[in-house]
Amino acid sequence: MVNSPTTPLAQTARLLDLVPFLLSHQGISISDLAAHFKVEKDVITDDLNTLWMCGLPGYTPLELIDLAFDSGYVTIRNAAPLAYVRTMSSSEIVSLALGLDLLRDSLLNLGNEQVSRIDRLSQRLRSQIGAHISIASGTQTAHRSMIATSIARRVPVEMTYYSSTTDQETRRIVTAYDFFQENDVEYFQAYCHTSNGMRTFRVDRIVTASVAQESQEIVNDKKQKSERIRVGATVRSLDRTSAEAFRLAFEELEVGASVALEAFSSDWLVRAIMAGAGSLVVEEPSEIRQLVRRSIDSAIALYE
Amino acid sequence: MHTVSRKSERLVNLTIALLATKRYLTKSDIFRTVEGYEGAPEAMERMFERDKDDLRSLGIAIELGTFDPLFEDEAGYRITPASYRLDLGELDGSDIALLSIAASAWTGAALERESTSALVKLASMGLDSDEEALSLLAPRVSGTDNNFASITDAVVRRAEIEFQYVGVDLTRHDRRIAPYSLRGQNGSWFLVGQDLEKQELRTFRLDRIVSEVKVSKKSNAFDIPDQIPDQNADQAKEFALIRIRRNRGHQLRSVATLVHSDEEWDELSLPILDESWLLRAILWHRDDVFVLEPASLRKSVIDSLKHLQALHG
Repeated sequence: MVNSPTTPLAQTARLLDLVPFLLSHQGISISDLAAHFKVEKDVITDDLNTLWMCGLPGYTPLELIDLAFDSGYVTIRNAAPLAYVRTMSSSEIVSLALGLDLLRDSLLNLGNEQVSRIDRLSQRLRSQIGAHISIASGTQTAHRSMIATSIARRVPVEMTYYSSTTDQETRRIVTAYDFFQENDVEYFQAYCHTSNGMRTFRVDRIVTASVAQESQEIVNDKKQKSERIRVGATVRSLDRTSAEAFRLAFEELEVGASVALEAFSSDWLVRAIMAGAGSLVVEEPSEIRQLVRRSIDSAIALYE
Repeated sequence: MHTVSRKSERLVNLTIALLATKRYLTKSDIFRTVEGYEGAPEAMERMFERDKDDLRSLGIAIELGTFDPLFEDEAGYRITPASYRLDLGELDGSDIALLSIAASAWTGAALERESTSALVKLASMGLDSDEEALSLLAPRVSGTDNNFASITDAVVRRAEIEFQYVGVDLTRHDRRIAPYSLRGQNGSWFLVGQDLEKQELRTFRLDRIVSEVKVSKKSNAFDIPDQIPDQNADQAKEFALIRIRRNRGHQLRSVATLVHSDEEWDELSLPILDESWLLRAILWHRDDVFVLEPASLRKSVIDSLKHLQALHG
């Protein structure tokens, strides 16, 4: 829900925008109206009651804005001076321009006509604000839209996928089922035709993606259980790399504290502990501590 | 609640009066005719000054002028329809559809409020648009950062900002920055700006800003150079020579150049842009990567490994 919709300024902005919106949506229901403005129904009713008192100086029925909404449906008359759609603020323009950046990437798979239309709109918006705010034209959103297509049409997608855990790129054919988000990272669930099972992938780890040529069969839906590994560790020094890797809150960390770490694979965990350069020490379980130790030893061996 | 409505009612009435008038309205015209101005003259004066500021903060331009340049009349106010009205040039239904999908990318994210009012304005233009066809591909902005709206505002207005940033050792540092640009890449937002204490161009990741971002009221406080230099290999003062096991170390390979390879190892050269990042990346790769040169980097890798070894003894 939108922040504090009831401050006088927020309400004024909404009242000014209500008039042209109502003029082009005569007879809209109050609940639809509230949905468009993303506020509660009683907030919009309060707005209508206030707007009903507004008009040209004189404020006789001839000058006041004529609103009817008793029936739950809104009609408006006599609102000529406010009929103009109000100019956009720079943050509204920024929101559109950044949205277009993303949309452009999503449409790259689809063809040029929409893309050049987006470029034209984007240039027009940016010339109004003249600021450097953008989203890198990345492959990520193009990949996302490929996965979205797979979800919507159940088409298999052939992708090269980078696994940071095994530090390897693999080619896979997948049919995606759903997106989900955890800790600001976007994942998708997919049936992997290459390994015949359900798998979870990170959208930002896709290296290439395209619609698979041959049709694929989904063999059996044996779900692989992904067990989380839990490890007890001690904080030896404060370190941003470790905090970010294990999603530990910056402000809660202190030297000497015991922390619980979680990971999906022991391989990843060992790497993250090593990259922490001694800021975290694994205490238990002892198998994992030994795993870390062996890894350190073999890295040191390279220099001996 | 009642006072809130009274104030917005007055602001709307003032906007209508100033927008509908053909001539400039003087303060006494306004106090006499616009609903909501009452009390002692000084009180009305103060009220009017605040109201003007409020309308301006909504982006409404109030013009000051006189009836007749030949006489020294009292100055008056008006809002011209040309400055009030949205002008995005000629748009058709498909343009509106694309813009609407772009706005809806912010659902649940930082600029949701701004994009909601932008959507309302687009819908008010009275053009039929077909969003269904494309809505399947509607992108989503990632990022719910509370500071996002303040930072975009500062970049657009060229206003200085202050915040606390968390360093590699988790200490907090106060930063005062002239923000030049904001860029989303690989799921993170990066702010590039001139550090006003250090007088250097710096890049900040938004999720490492640990305080509220304070934006100065003063707009147009600095100029942005035409070319904002990129941190790239051209600027590296030093290069590292490392060995990576074949088919391993993809993250490091993407920033390195291959020098030589044998059956087991590839030898690569890579620019040292951020020594601390490089050290961590090398440690991450365990026994798949090792450093040949420079000696200082080689030493810090060995020291870190020995430190890790002692701790896990």
